Amino acid sequence: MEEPLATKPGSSDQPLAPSDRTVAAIDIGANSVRMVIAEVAPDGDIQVLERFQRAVRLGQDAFHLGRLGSQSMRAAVAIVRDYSQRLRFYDVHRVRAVATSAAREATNADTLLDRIFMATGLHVEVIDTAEESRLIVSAVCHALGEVLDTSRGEALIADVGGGSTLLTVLHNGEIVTSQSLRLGSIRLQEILSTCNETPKRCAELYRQQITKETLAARRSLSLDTVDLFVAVGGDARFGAQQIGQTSSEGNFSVIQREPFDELVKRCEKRTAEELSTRYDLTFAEAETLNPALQIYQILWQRTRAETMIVSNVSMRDGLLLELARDVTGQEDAALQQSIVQSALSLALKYQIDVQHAETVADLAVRLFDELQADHGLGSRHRILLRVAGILHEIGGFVSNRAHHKHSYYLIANSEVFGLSRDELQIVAHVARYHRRSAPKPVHIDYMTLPRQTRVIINKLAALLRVADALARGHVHRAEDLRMERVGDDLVVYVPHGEDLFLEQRAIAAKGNLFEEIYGMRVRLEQI
Amino acid sequence: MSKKKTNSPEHFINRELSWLEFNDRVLREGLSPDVPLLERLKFLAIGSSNLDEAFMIRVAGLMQQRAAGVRRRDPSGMTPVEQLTAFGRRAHRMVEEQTAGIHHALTELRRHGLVVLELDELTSEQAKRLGDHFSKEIAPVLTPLAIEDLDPKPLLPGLQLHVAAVLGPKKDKKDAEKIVVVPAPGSFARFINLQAKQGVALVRLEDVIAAHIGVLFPGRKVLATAVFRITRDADVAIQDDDAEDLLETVAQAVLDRRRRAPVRLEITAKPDHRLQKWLVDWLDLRAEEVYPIEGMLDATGLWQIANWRGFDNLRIPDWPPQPVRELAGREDLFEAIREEDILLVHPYESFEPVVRLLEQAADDPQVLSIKQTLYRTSGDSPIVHALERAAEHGKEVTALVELKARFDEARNVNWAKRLEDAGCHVIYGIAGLKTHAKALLIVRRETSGIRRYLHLATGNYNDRTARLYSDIGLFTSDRDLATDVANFFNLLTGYSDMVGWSKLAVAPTGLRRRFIDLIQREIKVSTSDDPGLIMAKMNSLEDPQMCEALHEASQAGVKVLLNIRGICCLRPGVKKVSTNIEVTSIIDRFLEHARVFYFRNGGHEEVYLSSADWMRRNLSKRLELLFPVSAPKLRRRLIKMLGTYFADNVKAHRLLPDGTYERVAKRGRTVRAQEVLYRQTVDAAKAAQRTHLQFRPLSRPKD
Repeated sequence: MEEPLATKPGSSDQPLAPSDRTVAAIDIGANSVRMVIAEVAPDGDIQVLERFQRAVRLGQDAFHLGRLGSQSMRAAVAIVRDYSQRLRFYDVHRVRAVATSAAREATNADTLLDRIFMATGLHVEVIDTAEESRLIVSAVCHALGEVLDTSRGEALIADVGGGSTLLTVLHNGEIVTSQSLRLGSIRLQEILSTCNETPKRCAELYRQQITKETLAARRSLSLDTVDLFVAVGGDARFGAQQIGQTSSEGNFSVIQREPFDELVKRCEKRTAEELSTRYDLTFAEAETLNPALQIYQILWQRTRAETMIVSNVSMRDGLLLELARDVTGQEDAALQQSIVQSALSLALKYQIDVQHAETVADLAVRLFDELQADHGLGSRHRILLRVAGILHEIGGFVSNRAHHKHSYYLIANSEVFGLSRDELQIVAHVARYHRRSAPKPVHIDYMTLPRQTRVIINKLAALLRVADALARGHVHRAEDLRMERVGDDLVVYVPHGEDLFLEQRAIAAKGNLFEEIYGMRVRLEQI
Repeated sequence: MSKKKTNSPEHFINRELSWLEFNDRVLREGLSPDVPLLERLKFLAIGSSNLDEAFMIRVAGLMQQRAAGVRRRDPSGMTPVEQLTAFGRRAHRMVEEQTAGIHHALTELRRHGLVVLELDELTSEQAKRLGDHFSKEIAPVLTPLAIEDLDPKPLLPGLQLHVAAVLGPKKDKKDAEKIVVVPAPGSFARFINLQAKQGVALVRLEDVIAAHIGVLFPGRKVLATAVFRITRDADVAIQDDDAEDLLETVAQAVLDRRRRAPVRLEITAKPDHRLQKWLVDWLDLRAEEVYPIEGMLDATGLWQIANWRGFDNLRIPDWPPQPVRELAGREDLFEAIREEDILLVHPYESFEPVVRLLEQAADDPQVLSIKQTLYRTSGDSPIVHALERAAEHGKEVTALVELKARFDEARNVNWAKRLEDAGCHVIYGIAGLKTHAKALLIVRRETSGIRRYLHLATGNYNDRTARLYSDIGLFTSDRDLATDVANFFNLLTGYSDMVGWSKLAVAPTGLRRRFIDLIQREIKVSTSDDPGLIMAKMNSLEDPQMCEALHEASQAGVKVLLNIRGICCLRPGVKKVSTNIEVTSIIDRFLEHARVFYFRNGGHEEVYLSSADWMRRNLSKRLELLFPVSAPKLRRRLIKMLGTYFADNVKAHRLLPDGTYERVAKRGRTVRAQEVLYRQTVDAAKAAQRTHLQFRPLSRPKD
């Protein structure tokens, strides 16, 4: 894990040098390598400076052979090297480089990442589909905010990429489910080996495969109640250019069903060469068009949406939003809300006392804020702690004995919208250490984590333990408590008239890790 | 209303014939009694060199097609052979009028003391002096060719004047008559000054050579002489942009065979029969490809007289470029552009701010990079010097130098190398596409962050043509446009493929689509109560798809006003097809070159500028830009300008349904657009100067 969670000096009062406000997002996808360089204003406003896009078919070999071909790898490295020149020109330090489906599925992706690192010094993270969805959804919500909020029923956000199709369902602007399908414009061509087929035959093959995949996902992802269909991706944008109606503010386009079906029908009859001449597209753009349009069409047919909204944003815009928050030190409230919402629905699934869980989470976060100077962690860790608080007892669903261990594996193998695999690992460990043993060298899962991550887990678990102890007796609301540093003690003042016996005992049992990590004891006092 | 087909051949005008009508309008200025005499000579000379070029490229291309047996019809339904016939017929008539016009102008010039003499008008003293001059100065550099005897025959260069003579047999020998050719050396001025005591007296070089040709062939009698001039295929294999549409259908073998083949012979009228027959046979020309001239050949030589010192009363008064109104009293151009978008309307307004911006950028420590397209730029231009200096100061400088610009190659390569030596990143064009877009991007790191400054224009970065061409430039620091332009340069430099554009439209991938979308939007918002309006000004309209889109607009009741200087293949006034379309054309002292597009858009008016004409080649085979002018003040100014163009009733011609043009009738107040625009510019500059009058103490000049 390449310090994805290292703390960043975002919120300091020092005005940032201009170059600290220049950020870049690089996205190594299945059919192209893209980059966007932007500048973040002090108020968080993002001004795009330049956009880059170069076609390279990493997905071709990845989806077919499970490996990246040497030629496309070489091309990708050359492109990133070119891009890094532009980064040097703008003196950009805040860069986030991610790789998606092609790298996820290639066994030799590490070779590519290493060659890019050797050539440019850039660390590329391979992100999982959950994180990719999260980035897209946060970008879409940012761009379409009101449109999504005002929709009455459910909204589906669909991003058809080269290797995967990411689907997220929102209800009242909040995420209900999120899922990825192994369907993509390049993948379809590769797995069906359609390169020598007639356009008509290709269309049939695609349609069969898409129907098969979407039906398989039907059980976990119901689209029947969706009445707002939001499409993301270059091929959807092509559709919008051809037959879309641009919104008054220009941030999205609206497509009607009938013209869309006609467009798909027109395009299906043509080869990529023909599409490229007819619509003035590069060959790379034309090639992905038919499979992608059909995926959108079949998904759309499964919803009851009358129109398709095409958003101009992409995963890179999600990355930019994150980078912008890095610069300004501000978190995206909506996104945090989505994460919490997703954690709560997971908690409900395991039938735990959600009220207690939220109390613990609130208390833990309260402690986190109080001890900001001592742990030096960032806002991202704060949300991980909250999620750990919400989920720490879900292991009880399996068995009350050693429920912390059950919590661990349930969390580690679940999906929480907005959290990456690595982050979920942290949450799982923090929950695991909310009681009983502190981390030990014999805990293999724990020990295989990088040192930095282990430190974070320790700091967060110590807080969660104390919070859990404070919630032992009475139901305290976090805002009723006052905290103060007195010498080596952290004194927690509790409203008068309550018997603190249970809490006192719990602190005695669970405060050891806290004392070890923060070098202070927790003392309860009544006001 | 029943819609009629919008693409029938009868709705189009043939491109070559439309071009001839344009040249006819140029020549008409050369015949107009309202135009000062020496200016008339200029128009005659321009019309003449235009025609030369048309023969070398367009006619040559059609002849290539004829040779290759191409029968494809153009949108107006004509085959190459039909086009050649029609072109020839029209060109013959035009040449006759032109020759008469030259004669008329020269006769009139005599009254003003500028006299071009026929040799039989010389006094005996003048004749004797001229004879001496010939023997001493001219004869030594002449290269007489006994053309009949030579094998292989020499390739007589195109566009050069030659004197041919039929010589009698040598005395005492049983020798036959003989044809000889003497090229008129290009190193001599066309007109020889007789150094008259009063006024100016001139004689033509070719006349002098013809009169004295016997000197070169002692012992033979000169039986007849004639002056002739060959026009050749311009060897368009060098991928000439003006012929590619014709040549894409012609096989390489034909191209090779016909390279530099003769396409036209101009010859003194009523030449010796033997002489003409011999030349025509040798050059392998058809009878209609021979142009007998009853007077002076090659009017391009008139430039020498048009530029003769003095005689300013026979010229138009100078209209010096005015300072740009928004920049009055402004030292820091970056600051000025930050505050508001600025329009530069050349040549009424000076091109100097563009040069100054580059010079300021070159020396500004905050500037990180400069990127620019350079198409037909003069080598010693201050722009190139500024770029060199910027590179030397360590800035990232990228220049896209377009080498394929016709006839400019050698000039370009030279200074491009110099730029490279200074550390600029020079790109020599994009394979398969000519970069016709005119864009300048300056990236500056300011305390508030990165800021980009742009200059986008309809005309080239050429400080010289900026004094003759009417072009429009825009200074702006608009963020979205800047990102688009930065992406455009990334495309040119290979850093990126095409990404989406937010405000620009770019040929060859989306410009035609964008224009058509704009026209279709106008159709959509047009109602019978509130009809749509499109005003467009450009150099040429030839693209069939654009013509069809305009036909549709006309059918839908949208008013379409077109101001097109040159070729217009759209036929206006066809019932049920193009009755709402009006086409006018302005030929005046400045070459109309700006491309301006206006859409009424139901009251939300939009104005765009572009580097592109509505021609197939511009929309399909060039890198071109279309950009919006969104500042309300500037938009209003451009709309008013377009209004002025359409109000012109002095220099404007209207295109008639039969493809010919007539002068716009003078009704009411006379409006001469270029004059109105110049007066307005002078007034605005004066007003701006008054408001910005300030007393600035100067510091000690630097050593």
